[in-house]
Amino acid sequence: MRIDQKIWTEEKGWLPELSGRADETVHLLLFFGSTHILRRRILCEEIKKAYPNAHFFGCSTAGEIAGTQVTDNTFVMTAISFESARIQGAKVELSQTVDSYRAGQLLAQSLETNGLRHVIVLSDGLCVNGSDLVRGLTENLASEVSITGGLAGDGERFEETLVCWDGHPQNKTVAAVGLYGDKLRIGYASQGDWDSFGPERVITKAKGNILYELDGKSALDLYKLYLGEQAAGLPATGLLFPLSIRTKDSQTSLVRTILSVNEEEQSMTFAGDVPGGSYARLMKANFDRLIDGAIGAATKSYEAIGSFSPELAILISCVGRKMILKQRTEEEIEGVRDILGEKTVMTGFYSYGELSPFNQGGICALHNQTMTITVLSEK
Amino acid sequence: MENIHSLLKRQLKKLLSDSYSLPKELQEIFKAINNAYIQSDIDRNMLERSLDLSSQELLTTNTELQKILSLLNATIESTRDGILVVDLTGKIISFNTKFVDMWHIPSYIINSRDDSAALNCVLDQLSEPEIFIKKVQELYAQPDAESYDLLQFKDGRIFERYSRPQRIEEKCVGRVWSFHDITIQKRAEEQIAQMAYFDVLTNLPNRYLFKDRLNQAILYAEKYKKLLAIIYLDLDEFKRVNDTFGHNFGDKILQAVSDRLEKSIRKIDTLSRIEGEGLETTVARLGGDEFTILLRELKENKDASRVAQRIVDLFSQPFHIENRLIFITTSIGMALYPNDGQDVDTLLKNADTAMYHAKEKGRNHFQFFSEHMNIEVLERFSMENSLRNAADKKDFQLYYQPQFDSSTGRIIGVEALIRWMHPEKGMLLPDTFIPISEDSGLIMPIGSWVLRTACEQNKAWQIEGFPPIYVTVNISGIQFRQKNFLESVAQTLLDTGLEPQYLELELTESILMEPTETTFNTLNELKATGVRIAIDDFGKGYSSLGYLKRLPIDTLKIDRSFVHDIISNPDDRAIVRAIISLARSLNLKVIAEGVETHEQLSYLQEQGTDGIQGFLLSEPITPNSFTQLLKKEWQLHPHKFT
Repeated sequence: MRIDQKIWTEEKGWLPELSGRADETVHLLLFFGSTHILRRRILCEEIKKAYPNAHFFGCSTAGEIAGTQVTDNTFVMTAISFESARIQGAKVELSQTVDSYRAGQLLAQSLETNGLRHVIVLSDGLCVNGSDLVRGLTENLASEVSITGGLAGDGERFEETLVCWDGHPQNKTVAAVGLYGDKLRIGYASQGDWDSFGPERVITKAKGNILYELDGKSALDLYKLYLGEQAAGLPATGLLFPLSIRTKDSQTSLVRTILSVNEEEQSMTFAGDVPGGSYARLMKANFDRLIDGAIGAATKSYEAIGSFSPELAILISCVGRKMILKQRTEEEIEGVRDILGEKTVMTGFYSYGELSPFNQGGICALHNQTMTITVLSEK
Repeated sequence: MENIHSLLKRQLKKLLSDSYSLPKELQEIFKAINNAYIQSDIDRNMLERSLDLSSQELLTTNTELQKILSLLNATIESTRDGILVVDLTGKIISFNTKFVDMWHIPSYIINSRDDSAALNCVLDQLSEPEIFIKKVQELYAQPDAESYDLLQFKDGRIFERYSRPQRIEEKCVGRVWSFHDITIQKRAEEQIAQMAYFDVLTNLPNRYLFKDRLNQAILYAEKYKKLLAIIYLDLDEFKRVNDTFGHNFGDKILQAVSDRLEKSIRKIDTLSRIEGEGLETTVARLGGDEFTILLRELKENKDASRVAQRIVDLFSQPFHIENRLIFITTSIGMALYPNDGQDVDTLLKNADTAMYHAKEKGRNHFQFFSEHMNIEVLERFSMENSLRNAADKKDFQLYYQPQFDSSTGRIIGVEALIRWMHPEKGMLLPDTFIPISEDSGLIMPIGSWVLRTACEQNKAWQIEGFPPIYVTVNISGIQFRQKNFLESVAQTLLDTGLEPQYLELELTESILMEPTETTFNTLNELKATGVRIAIDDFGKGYSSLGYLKRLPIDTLKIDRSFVHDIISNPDDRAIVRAIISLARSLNLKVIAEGVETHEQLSYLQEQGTDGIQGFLLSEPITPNSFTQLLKKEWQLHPHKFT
């Protein structure tokens, strides 16, 4: 696997600079950037010329990851040439007729099943029900095919997210790339480590991923009460208090974060299902625990491939973590680096939701507020 | 730079001079530090706010929980059920006061929450503690099971017990036991059931239950071809008693009557059950002064009349009520199944009709529904009555029929035969009155009179100087089964001075048909005294030849029916030959009875019969005539006396 990573900023352009000669050996161009930069057509044309044979796979973010750097308003591009692995990708647009489940189903069905090992999914971050998307994928893929990925971000704006599989980045799009090849080693893990606090509340009114009431009272009011002055920053500030959701018959709980707020309906839309009758508790962050969570995810994925430094690591971490960690955000990336080692090329982004099993071999689910790591190696 | 964090501003002021201005290269880091200060404040404020809010929320929740707890406690305390909650290991978690009261659990046990002491205290009170402890163990093994049963206490109380798991969400964490005292309810149910089937005044079955039992009895009788009798009683002039002494007094009479009826019937049942199948007799009160009795142990229809007579007799004694002696009689009607009806209503109606006839005929006696039964019973009763008189007045006489040696023609013995010298009907043979005497129990005095008289007579002949012969006396099965039979025989021999070898007891084959150990013992003991034993009417019954070998018998008497047809019927000849050869091989004597013709005599002689008895040689004769016969024989065979 040959990997080349470049970052573009408005001030400095490409670093390192793009070579004048076209590189025809690159198979996959993985890129993450802020929404407004992805909108620049010229930039895309430029890259297309530099890597004429590469498939383009990327999305808008709430922060780009390149090595141990976390940046905003940049374009991070990772050019990958596989030694033996193959890829196949696809995208679908969400519409009235294609809902999140259907999108997952269509993507799964468009991938060649023979030899398929792993699917990386990048999805629109605002118009999707991540839980439904995951169901559409898992129900239509063989159980041994693992899935990881994330929901595209839009800084702390929550206005528009873009996803790209070849062509130009588009909104309301979900893209997936399938990885094929016996020699490919794939590891993944997801860990959040937020702390629940306060009373357990019953979800008394909800529909899909839209939450109306907790314990018979407006959920939005509860959030506003807890946020105080910061309520003005909704929906972004809602990420400061994710919800821990435990269904009646389940011992484990999932974390859900807010995607949008509807003042008229007094509702909040979450990245995944908030099933009625389940129990919800507010969660809060603790810096050290968040960083330990990222290290935990790194350790699990590292061990999953046999405890050696992988060639590539894709880090998808939740925007909620970045909003809490702020200046300390890079500490979680450095924690990951300490585990994976200096040789590993790291890329990724801050997302509106993460897709991954908690542990290797588990069932893929939508997570929020986690660090989700996918490691790849052909060695 | 604007918006510098107050702490940072103060630090700058304190540690650097007012006039100090940041070099350009440090301005970015200063900005980052300032932002971190500000952010830290924001984070801390938010955290404090959220902690404050959630503790307020938890406080509210706590208050609500306290309200719910108090509501629950009040509810649990106000229920009339005893409630106990234990955890999965049986440790006492909670209980209400009612529980402690119901189970009389001492406070030192319940306060110490000592579950094993509490369990012991519970077990001590139960009638079947082992069943309860088994149930408890079963439930510990199945924490999810629900169960219900009844607990019976030694002191008579009855509790309903429910037990169901205590769950938190889906998880089972303990068990709730609740106990409900249903003693009063159970008693009431029993009372209601009793009232539905039993008469409240007398506690006897009521009309409903009687009809039900009668119906069952009819089904049974139909299947097994049994007889039934329904006795319908009505107290005579009971209305007058009621009018004179009042209803309370009347009620007491009814209670006393039912008491007498029941006791008497119970006696009948106990007697009949020795041989019967234990089918219960039912006494019921239909209402007013009407009682009914269902008899199920009838061998023949006239058995019912004996019970009826016994009931009439029950009323011969006065009733002692409230210091008064009250004489009251009853009229009884009887209907028989299957002759007088084959269903409940017909039988009851006909018994009722018969009862009215009894009343018409002058009260204090009983009537069958069918006339021929009445006649039969009437005859039987007059016979029984005169038989009783005869026993008193010694209207009996013994006749004697000699038995001859078949080869020598000499008298070897004599059979004593009873005759009743009836004042109106003349001389009656035993067939006509012995069965009645057996039924009425008169057989006992008659039987011992016969034995004594026969022994005395035989001894008299010996004293007169005639050569000694044995006298044969017929013994009824009822006599034989009497406990003191052996003693009475021995006493009679002692009293009369007759030596035992000169007495032969003649038993019917029926006694030996299914001999019990007692039969063997009695016979052996009799034999040991030296008395001879003969079997009468041999060949008629179905004696087991196997028994015959074991019985200490001296003589077999061939039944007269075989002898009668011995010439014309080859089958009878074969039987007689078989009996003779059987007797020979068992070393028994054979006597042929009822010999009437010379042909019969010579055939029997040919076959080797030992003794001959019959009209051909001599009919039964009076003692005087027999003395003459002996004298004649003495003259014929004088050498016997030398």
